[in-house]
Amino acid sequence: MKKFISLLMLIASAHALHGQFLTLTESDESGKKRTLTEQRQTIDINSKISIDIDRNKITDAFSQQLAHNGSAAIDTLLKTLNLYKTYLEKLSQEIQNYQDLYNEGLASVDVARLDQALKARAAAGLDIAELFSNNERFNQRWEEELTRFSGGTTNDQYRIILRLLSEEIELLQGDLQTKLKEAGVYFQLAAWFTGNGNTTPVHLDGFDDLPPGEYYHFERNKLYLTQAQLDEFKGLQSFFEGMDRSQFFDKIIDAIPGMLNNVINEDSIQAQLNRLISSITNLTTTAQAEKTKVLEQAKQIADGFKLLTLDIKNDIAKYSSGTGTSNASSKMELLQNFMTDVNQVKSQIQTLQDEMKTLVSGIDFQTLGAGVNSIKTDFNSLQSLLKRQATDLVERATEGIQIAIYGRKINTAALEISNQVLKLQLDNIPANSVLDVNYVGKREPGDLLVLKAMLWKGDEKNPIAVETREFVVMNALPHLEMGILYAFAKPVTSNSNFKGGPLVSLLYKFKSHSMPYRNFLDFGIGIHAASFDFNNDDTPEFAGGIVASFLKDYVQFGWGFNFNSNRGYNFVGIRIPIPTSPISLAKLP
Amino acid sequence: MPTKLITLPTGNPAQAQALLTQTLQENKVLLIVIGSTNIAVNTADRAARFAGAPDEARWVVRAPVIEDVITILKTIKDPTPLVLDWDDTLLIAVSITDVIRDMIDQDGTLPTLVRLQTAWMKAENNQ
Repeated sequence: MKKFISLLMLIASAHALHGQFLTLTESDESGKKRTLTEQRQTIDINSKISIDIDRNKITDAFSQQLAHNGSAAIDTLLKTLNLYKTYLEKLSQEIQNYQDLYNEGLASVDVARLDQALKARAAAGLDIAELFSNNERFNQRWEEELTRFSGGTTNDQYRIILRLLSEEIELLQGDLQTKLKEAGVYFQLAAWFTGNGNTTPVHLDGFDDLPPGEYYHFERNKLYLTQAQLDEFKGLQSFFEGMDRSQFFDKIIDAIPGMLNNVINEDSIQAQLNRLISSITNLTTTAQAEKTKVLEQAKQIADGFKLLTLDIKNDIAKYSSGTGTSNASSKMELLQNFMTDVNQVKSQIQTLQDEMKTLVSGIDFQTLGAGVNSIKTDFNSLQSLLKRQATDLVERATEGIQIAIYGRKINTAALEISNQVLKLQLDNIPANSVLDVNYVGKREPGDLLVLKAMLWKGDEKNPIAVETREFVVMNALPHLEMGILYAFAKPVTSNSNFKGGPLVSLLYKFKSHSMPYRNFLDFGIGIHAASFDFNNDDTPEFAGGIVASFLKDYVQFGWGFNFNSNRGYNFVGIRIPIPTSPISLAKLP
Repeated sequence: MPTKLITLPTGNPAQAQALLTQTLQENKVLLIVIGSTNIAVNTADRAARFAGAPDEARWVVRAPVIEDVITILKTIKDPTPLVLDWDDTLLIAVSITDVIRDMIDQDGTLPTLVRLQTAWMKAENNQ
């Protein structure tokens, strides 16, 4: 029965032959489990990922690929398997329908309904009997099962047919596995960790011979002030230096000029334009008016392109010299300005493409005579090139911004597979494994874990199917953090001014798997201790109370009580001097 | 499970006919086995093993003396026709709407269980 149920589940998944191979579940330190369904997701920095591998989907993916590439034997096997599965599904359904009727009470059922149910079930059974009418093994097994049958309902007899069909399906799947083995297919599952500026392979039980990594448990609760915090408070560092913990912003900003320079291949486009104009100029034709029109339009496009390259050069100069950065009041605003510039470039490219399209569709190429086909082809390929480069530019820019906001993003296609990652034949693939993040070594929030499942055939250089999953580690669970800032307190029962003084807070941070939230908002509530001088006698007074924070603790406020001067107070604290420009909240591009 | 086999009485044709007629009028799927040879008796017993639960539609009838009930048998609809010679017929499969849907003839061998199962399915398929 279990075998039968698992085969029914196989049927349910039969149509999703190109779906995911991996089912991933995160178990965090609090014991909560979470299914990871997206290609890129955050996980807690101390969690474990259970990996379940769907071998049926892997087999299906291989089979489909090989059948598609001309393996007739596999194609036939697949078609037969699908036919068997269809029959299995049909008979199962009719058995259930009859069972529903039986449960109602056959005596009370209308004879027409009963006839219909009997007919449908019998037809499904007869189809299978007909299919295997010349199959000695099937019929022998059927006779054996019927001999052993010691009484039961008619549905029990039809279930015998289901079991036998399931056996045939298993046999066929065995044949399929053999064929796939002969075709030299194999499976690999590999993991990498990117942190501390390095990318290193990570051990997965059952899938490689790599040694287990170093155990490192990230200390989630920071119940101490770091040297950096103390230095920051002492120096009252500027808003930018204090906020930027990830350092990705600087890297991305540095990369902007290079991005603009490299993605748009000006020389190539200019060369193609020059070649086009030259071909048109040298074209021998009697349709001089048409030729002149084409030449003028082509020169217009060339001029448009010159303007575009000038704009790009200006943008490069702007971001290289720092003008682009200094005009922004925050790094988010800078990134927004950059995306605006990128979209402007894209729009200009789009305009050039449209002009080219108009030119090509507006020309009467017939009248221009021989030699014009190559010109038409050149226009079309130039259009494609422009479109491709515009898409590339926007994609790279967006990617760069995502790195700044979400953390690292690495080129997963370029990850090298260690030769210690096992090449597994289909029947040797383990059903599951575990990736324990505590064993990837020292790590910080924002570091990246990559998991890649690959299906290979023989010695081919590229896998025939890949599933890549990326996980950004973060301090997702609730935790405590200690902070220090300069606070301004106003005694509640006095008209005196705000009194300044250092304030240390112990904040409870809420659970979140959102990187933008953790990087930019990160609300907290807790208690504080402070030192004020309400009575202006130059003697620090001890105070304490409650506190709430937001904007990643850059702004804190609350209420407290000054035990020395016996007065309550409200306060607000900031980690920066009063800014002359507004603080920019997170705003994603 | 109680057997779902009706053996028509011998030595009383009227009673046999009445019982067969009554059985045909009920909403049943029938395998009617003809004769009193060892093969006929064994076939009826084996067929009855697959008649299912007491409240299900399948029943087996054995007519030991065909002459007693041949008039009734000949009234059963046989559109194909499947029965060409009643004397050569071991078993007929009759649908819930009283139509002959399968026939096994007498060839001196005991029908296999798979063959009997197929006869049941054809009777239920009613086509």
